[in-house]
Amino acid sequence: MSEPKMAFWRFLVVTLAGYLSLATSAPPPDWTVRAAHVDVPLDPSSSRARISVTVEAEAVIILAPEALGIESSTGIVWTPEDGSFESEGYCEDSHRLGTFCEEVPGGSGTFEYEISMAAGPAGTTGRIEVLAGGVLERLSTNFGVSIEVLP
Amino acid sequence: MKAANLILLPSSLVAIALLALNDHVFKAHFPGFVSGKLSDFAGLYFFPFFLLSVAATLRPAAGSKRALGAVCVLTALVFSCVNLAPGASELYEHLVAGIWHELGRTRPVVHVADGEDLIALPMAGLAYWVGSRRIRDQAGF
Repeated sequence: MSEPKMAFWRFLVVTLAGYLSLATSAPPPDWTVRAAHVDVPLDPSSSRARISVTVEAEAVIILAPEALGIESSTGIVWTPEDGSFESEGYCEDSHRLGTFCEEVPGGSGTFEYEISMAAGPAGTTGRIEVLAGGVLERLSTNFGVSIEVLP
Repeated sequence: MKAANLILLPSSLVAIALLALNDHVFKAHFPGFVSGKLSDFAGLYFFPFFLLSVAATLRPAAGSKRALGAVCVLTALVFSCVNLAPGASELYEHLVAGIWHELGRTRPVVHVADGEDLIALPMAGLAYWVGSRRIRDQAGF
């Protein structure tokens, strides 16, 4: 086989092997997530963002690489030093994303989060990603997540 | 054979196909001990070739028998760590979840640390044996 052909097949197989190697550690097929995100402006000094999250799901998960702390309206307080926060139940059993996960009692609810964001150059933004997670057969037809940035 | 092309060995392609079939078909339809371990056996066989192919593409000097040995040892070491140390398993989950996130496909990652999976470790040795023979064959031509 000529070298360019070999390189093409190698690229194809390496891509496939890489994908499969990543996917082999993915969640069980019944685990489903819906995601929404907001980009909040960063300040040269640390700042705070307030968001309201409405979910129809078993758990609400927050991914915010620039977060220095998260305070939930349910009273849970998280800082990076705490490591991953996973409240008992669904989060503990099914979730390993590593930032913050809390149960949604009754399968739906609205939560407010106050998030301390790390300092960043003026004009840049930090992403706050919110996931709604659950096992598909236990989720309602309204399964999903919406975010509102509060003043 | 060039070290970067070891991933194209028939045995490597079979291992990749087995991993795909096991993860997407067998685990769902025939859950049990065999389907629980098959992906480990397949993965430990082709993953050193995958690493070597990536390394040799980026840096052709990496395509040697010594490099093959290094990626086989690295694969076996990381596999052992993530299956024996809960901290390493968690780190691995973060890393894989981070890669998915960077690829724009945020998804949770669950890795179950299981010391029993270490029975698949000889596959990394087999990969070295098969791979080094093919590299040596090429050198002899």
